[in-house]
Amino acid sequence: MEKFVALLASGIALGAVLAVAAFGFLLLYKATGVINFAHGDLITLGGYVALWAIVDIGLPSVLGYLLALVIMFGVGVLIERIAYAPLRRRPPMSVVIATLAAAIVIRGLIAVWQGSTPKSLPTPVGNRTVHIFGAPVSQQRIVIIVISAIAVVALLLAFQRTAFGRQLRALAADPETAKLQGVRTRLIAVVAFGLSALLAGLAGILVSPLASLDLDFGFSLMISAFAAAVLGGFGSLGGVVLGAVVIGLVQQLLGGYVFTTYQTTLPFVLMLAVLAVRPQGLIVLKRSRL
Amino acid sequence: MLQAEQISVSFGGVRAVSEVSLTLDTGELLGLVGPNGSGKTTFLNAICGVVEAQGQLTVDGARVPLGRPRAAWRAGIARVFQAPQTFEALTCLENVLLSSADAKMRGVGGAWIARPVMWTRERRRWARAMEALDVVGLAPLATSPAAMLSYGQRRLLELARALAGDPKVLLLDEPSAGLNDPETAALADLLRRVREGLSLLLIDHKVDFLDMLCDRIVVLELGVVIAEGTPQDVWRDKRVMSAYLGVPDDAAH
Amino acid sequence: MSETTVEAPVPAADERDSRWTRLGRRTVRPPIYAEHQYLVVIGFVVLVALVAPHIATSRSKQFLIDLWLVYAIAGIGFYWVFALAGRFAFCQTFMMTLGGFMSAWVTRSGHGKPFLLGVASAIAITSLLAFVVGIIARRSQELYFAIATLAVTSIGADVFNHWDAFSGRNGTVTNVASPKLFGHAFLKDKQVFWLFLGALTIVLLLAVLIERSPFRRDAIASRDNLLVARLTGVAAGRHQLVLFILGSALGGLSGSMYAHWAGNVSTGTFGIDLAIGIFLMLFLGGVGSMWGPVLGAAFYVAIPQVLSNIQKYSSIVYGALLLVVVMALPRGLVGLAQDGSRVVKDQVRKARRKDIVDVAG
Repeated sequence: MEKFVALLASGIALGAVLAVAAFGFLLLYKATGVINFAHGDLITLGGYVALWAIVDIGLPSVLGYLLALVIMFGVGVLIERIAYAPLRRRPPMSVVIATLAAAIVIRGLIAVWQGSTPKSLPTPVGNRTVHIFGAPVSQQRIVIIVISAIAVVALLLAFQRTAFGRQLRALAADPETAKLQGVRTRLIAVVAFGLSALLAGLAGILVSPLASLDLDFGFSLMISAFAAAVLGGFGSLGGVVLGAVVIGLVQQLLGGYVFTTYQTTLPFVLMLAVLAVRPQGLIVLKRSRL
Repeated sequence: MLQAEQISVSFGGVRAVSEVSLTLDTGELLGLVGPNGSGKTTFLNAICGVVEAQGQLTVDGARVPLGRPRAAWRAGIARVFQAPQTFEALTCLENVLLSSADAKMRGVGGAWIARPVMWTRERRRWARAMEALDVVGLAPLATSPAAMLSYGQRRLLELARALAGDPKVLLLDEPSAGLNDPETAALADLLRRVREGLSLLLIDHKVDFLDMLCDRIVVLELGVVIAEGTPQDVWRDKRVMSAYLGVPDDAAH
Repeated sequence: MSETTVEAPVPAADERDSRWTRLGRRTVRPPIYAEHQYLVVIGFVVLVALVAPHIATSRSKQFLIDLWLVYAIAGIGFYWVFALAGRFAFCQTFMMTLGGFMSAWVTRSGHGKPFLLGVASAIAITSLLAFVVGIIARRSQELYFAIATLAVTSIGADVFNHWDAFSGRNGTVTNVASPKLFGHAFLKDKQVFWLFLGALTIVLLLAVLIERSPFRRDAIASRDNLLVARLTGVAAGRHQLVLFILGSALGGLSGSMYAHWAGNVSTGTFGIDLAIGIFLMLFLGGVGSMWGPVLGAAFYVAIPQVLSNIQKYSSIVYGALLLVVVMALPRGLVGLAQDGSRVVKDQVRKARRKDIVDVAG
């Protein structure tokens, strides 16, 4: 029983982090159509910036996290200015390559700045655990679940209620018509990039106290987040959250009980199985207009 | 030659084409007309496998599975689109070569292993493709990139590509759209020249153009056939008039 | 009264086109067959064979040249998959890793199978796996295909890390035998250079054979508009699958070459940096040509050397360079070279025409 609870908690926590990461990626994709290959490295960067804020500058953890999030938003805006805005008229492939270039630069910067030895991010809850049904659950996991839930719900509400959210949805549904109706695509692009990077950073900050921070840690998280988006349906923000939780649970529960050695591969196998059966994912991305 | 039975196409909840049946005889030129949104293009799409459809399609006595573009091509159905779908990254000649009737030795086997055979077939394909380009008048542009062509030339390129496949049935979607009168007449001339041994199914709006070419006309409205017959009969049909004009025939008063 | 006959002037290059409309006089063929690709390959190989030994003044320089040859082969494979077939595949490094492990496993001291068999098995296993992945993701659009191949790479890394019997403890295999061909062992980097150059020559010739074939135009059509390509009778899905298999096989080949040369292979050998790097090589060099990855791989390998004092910042330089190339040179360096050669040809043609006009008076 204890094992089940512990695994359940880690599964939900993993799902929560993936949801935040996938949300950021999907948000950008819906707002601008851009597939940001630097997203994984932004996750890593978020962790490292938080590390710098807390360890190098000496800020208290929560303040350090907030500063990191603000910086990540700025990084997102910077990427928009350099790798997106100048390439608006180019074929979409150029922007994809530009995001790859951004990924290369970010990885290089991190390597130069922090070196490649794995580090660990301090957290206000430290290593403390809480006992649920007799199982020790790391408090960090509770923090992850709570904060992710707040972030996701806040964003979902923002999309439904605010003007910005409405404009974003209009843009995602039909870019040309939205532009004709005066949706401010440029502003939305800037905010989307910033928000996406912020969410990536948040995912990195949430998970790095539990894992160790190294150069590739965000990349693997991003791939799992992609899998969540595929499972939950690329068109649907709510679906992505569901997909993320499914992945988290599959990996921890199935992996914890049955395939312990290969647990990280399970979500991917699941995703490949889904793609084999429904090749367009759960939502069709393009429709032919002949 | 071509028999379409009870063809239906639905998009979500909307029935774009509803149990349309028509027959195209060998050598016949059939016009398909109707107001906007009547399902003409969708019907053509169904016939050549671009969209999923219900119903039955037979060409030359053989069943053609619906919703499979290559199966349609193999059955001898060739399609020319309203907005020309040419491949900009290739030259005109290469565009036409794509549809070559001789489809053998075009894969890696031909490229890496059986090259001499590949070459013999290639040379024949080049000659056939040049003939098709010559018919539409684009032969001087054979080695030019398709990206350099004007809109009208791209339409002709598509037509050449369709012809290169030795089709039995040619489906044309508003070929005269955007053309002025002399150009339309030239197009009609071209179509008359190529229709030897072919059956044509033609969507268009220009009445004179249709009258010049069509043996018969089928009229669609809202996905359903409302009239069928020779051009003169069809234009006089009251249902056709009201479909287009939307008013009953007391406009004569 | 007779009129003096006038000698028809030699038609200028663009006037000769009108003769082609008279069929039977001269076969018109797609311009790609008029390029001298074989000569370029031979010229390139000869050039490298002559120049490289002079550049390789130190052990590290020789190492980089050999590494360039390995990456060039992997890059050409990626060109087939990404540029020609239009498939967004992120698993070339996985194929390289798999090829390395497979070849190492087959030639392991206990088994003692010859080097060529190791290479052949690397090619075979990667082709097989590419076939499976290609079938699974066959109808997936670009983004989903990218995600599927990323997933395959992740699964692969995990499997390799845990399958000790095949890929060693912690996914590392050492003591991989040196390449041996017909009794001759290639022990030094200098010797390996000739082996790798030979391999690259074969790959380049295979690539040219594809360029000069209907397969190329069918693949491009399948890439640019799958549905319409099918409508014109092209077996679009099949072409994309075949190119994915062939490109992955080249990944396996390059991985096995590296493993035998370096003597070891691990899951980190062809990591994320290289995965991004392969994209970089293709785009830097030029995505429209089979020479793009060859040129791009040279840059990728050379830049840290050239900027040896700021080697730490080489990644940042790559990224910035890639961005600049994307913005300024959409067709990469090869595109730049093609534009340059076209400018030269135009000038030559103008000069020649001027001569004709002068002569004709």
